[in-house]
Amino acid sequence: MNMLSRTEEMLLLAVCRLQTEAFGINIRKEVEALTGKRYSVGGIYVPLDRLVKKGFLSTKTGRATENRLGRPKRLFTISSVGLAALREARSLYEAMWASLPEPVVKQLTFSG
Amino acid sequence: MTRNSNSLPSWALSLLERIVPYRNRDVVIGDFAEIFHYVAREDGWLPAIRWYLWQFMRSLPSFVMNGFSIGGSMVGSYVKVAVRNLSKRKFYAALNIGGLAIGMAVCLLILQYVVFETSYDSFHENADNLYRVNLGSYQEGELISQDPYTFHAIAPLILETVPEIERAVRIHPSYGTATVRILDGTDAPVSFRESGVGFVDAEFATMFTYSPSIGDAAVTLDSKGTAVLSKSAVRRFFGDTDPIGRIIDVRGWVDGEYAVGAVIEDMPTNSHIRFDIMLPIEDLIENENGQYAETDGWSWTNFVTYVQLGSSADISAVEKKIASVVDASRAESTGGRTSSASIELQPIQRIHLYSDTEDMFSANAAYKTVLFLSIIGIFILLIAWVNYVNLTTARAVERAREVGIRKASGAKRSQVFSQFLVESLFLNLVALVLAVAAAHYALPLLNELVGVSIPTTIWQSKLVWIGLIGIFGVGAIVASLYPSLVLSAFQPISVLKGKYGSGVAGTRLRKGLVVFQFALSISLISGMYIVYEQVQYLRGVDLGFDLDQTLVVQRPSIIDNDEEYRSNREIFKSRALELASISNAAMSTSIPGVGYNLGTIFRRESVPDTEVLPVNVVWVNDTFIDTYKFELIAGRNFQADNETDRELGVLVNEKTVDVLGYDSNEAAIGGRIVFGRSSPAVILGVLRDFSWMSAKSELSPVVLSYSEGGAWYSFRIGTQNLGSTIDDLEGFYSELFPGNTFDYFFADEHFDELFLAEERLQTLVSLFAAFAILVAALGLVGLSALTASQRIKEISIRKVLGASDFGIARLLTGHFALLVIIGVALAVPAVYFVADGWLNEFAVRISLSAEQFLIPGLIVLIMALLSSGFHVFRVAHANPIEGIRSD
Repeated sequence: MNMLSRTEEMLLLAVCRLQTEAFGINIRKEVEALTGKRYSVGGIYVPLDRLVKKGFLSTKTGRATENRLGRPKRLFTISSVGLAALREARSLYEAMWASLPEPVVKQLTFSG
Repeated sequence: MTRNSNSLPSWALSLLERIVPYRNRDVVIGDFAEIFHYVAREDGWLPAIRWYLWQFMRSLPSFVMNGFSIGGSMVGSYVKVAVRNLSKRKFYAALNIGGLAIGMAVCLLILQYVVFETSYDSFHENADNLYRVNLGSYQEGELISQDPYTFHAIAPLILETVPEIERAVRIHPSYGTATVRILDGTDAPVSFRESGVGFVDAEFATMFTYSPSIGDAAVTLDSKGTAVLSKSAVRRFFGDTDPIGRIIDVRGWVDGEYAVGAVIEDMPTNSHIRFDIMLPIEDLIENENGQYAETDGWSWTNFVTYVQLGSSADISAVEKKIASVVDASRAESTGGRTSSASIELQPIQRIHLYSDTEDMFSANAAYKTVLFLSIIGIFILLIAWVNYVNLTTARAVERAREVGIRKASGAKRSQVFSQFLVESLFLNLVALVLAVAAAHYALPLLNELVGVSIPTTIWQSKLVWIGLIGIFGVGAIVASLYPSLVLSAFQPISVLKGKYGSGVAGTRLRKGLVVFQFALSISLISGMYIVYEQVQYLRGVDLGFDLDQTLVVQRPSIIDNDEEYRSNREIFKSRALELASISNAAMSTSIPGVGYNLGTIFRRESVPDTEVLPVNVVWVNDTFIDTYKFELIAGRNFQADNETDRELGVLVNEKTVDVLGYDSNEAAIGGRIVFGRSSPAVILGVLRDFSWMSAKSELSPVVLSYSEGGAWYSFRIGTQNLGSTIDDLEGFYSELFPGNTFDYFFADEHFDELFLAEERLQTLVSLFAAFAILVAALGLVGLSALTASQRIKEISIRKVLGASDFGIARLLTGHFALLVIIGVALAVPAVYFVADGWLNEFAVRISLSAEQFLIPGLIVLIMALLSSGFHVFRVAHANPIEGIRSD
């Protein structure tokens, strides 16, 4: 089985959450707010491109504005393959976390 | 697309455009621009720049990986290691990057200058087919110069008779300033003194490519009495109001009123022609009060002629054809007595760099400055690269263990090699970004220092980027290759055992490179020293006249009645002389430092008219030589009331007596000479030789002829009450010459401007010498810190055995003295050769002496000791136990 990495999962979820606003700048901000990990302006496109290559994301060219000196934005949307991967990841988590012995659950809640 | 102050600067944009891999280029650049805009708006411009630089560097790994990530190479990991290494050793990294960045920035600035200077007149659509027609001047049968000033009859003649010529255009510059008055709109007309006035043929507007703004320039110039203005002239004259149809009154070569018919954009700064006001040339040639009215076009050479040839034309054939039709037509005009013309067609794009008469139409052989600065730029870059190689290889010992571990865990040499190569490339790239930013913001400074006006749009030039990538590529590869080879060569077993190999070869190479740096620094400092001494010397040369405390006032240009003007002029002079602080007053058509009025040919009346010699003429009045304190060594001055003096009298310098072949100064008095074809004169007096245009030029025959008035009023004034004297003069001036602006200057200050080129050279050489030393010093600081720390064990043992702090310091720095001496030895021949050539262009020059090399050597030695001294003393002073205990 080909599992999603944590980073991939996080990025895919960020794209889902941002919906029509899933542009590079916003995704970078979202990831930073969520995890504190700061991608560089150019760096964010490296994992995103990888996800596109794997078929999890698809891209569309967005509007160009004056502040962007006429350069277009690129909008990321999740593909059906990406959704399937997320679904799989989620069920995997649920399966992993389900049915833990009572004392362990207690320990986890206590320290968390 | 609009740009405002919050937009990404052009250099930053261009940098991204070149470096971001194609796949995401537009999107990434857009992101950069958007966030930059946001940061600039919220926090200001400087934080935005800082943000940009930081983000750019952080993004570099991704650009690189995106560039060649296919196949899962190690490049990303190498970059990561590089970043870690650099941040672990901040001091070393700062020295290394700083040195490289300074070197690259200087080189880049010079590159921009070179690109700009070589781009002159390339913006014309037909640039490749445009030529200036130059006329040869002969002296004793030898071609002495190619002169851009020609007859106005040439252009129409050759356009008709030489089939290869598609267009021919004449230009007549204003030679000095003209006064422009705005007549309509205001009650009291406003006056402007303008230097960019030119009379041109109508085809000027179509043959050259100057961008139109309002109206059709060619149509405007085709009818008399209408003018074409540049946008900035329009702004000066009319502000924001509509200029079309407004009337300007131009008083200059000829006087006349013109209606504004068209406006063009300001001529680009890399155009050798710079006009603000263009008037139809017929208004000049056919003006009945003008000097060209009664001539057939073959007597005055005040015009500049340009032609456009068909693209397949054979240049030398066209030159010969032009010469033959010109000869035929001139012979007809002069009745057969003429020498044959020599014609040169100079490609328009070569005019700026390769002409040697100093004015607008041929700005002073700039290729020498271009060449000189290119050499300096390469020098400084070399010094920076040498630093880089030195610092990197010196650190090899520290990195040896890392290499050992990498190899022991299975890395191949090629992998270690590419790791170091990537690290080098990364470091070079960081330096490059800093250099681009520095060069961008230093451009205005360079403009001021060199006296050019390079626009910031130079960043858009492809050549600049080709050069930049060249600098980067060559530097990164050459400077990275050797250290990478050295570092990757370590044998894992020996380095892990603690044996690094003494690296004699490496040390020798480092020493060699340091000597090279020293030699370059010494060369630049001695260059600076020699230029300074020569300029001081030129300034100190006895000129043969005295410019101290001499105030010069320009004559009025708006004169409505000649007779009234003449009497007012005399009133002005006598009123001025009544002032207690003014001791002398003189009038002349030129003054020392401004130029001669006429370059012509002359001979003694007794020799045949084939043996003529070149001579320069200036017209002065009878009080001129007393005002400027010329020394009369034979004969007498003009007497204003003697009609023969006024008509025929001339004063000459000793050189004139000499070239005319008189036995003595006294023998020349009363001698009869003939100017041009038939204008006789009698020598009244002989003046001690003087340097009219400064000691830069050779002494040449100069003749002062008599004229009552002239363009310049000179007053010798006392040092007291300077302000009130000038106020008084201004009062008289505006009363006697209403409507004219009172323009004055001090003769000595104006004369000093003749040394502007040398002064600029001096500033530039000093500045670049300072940079070279700075970069070399940075390198030495790093190098001595590294060697000192590597020899810590040896030093500690020496100290334990009783060596003094001073003795240790001497041990570590002693070899610098030797290296400096070798540096001097290398610098002497190179500097001697270049400086001697430069000095030989002056009529008088200093001789080169030993101190011009020894003092720079000493300076470099002190610099070397100081920059290495700090670390050396720290190491020498440290407790030896620390050093020995370290492992």
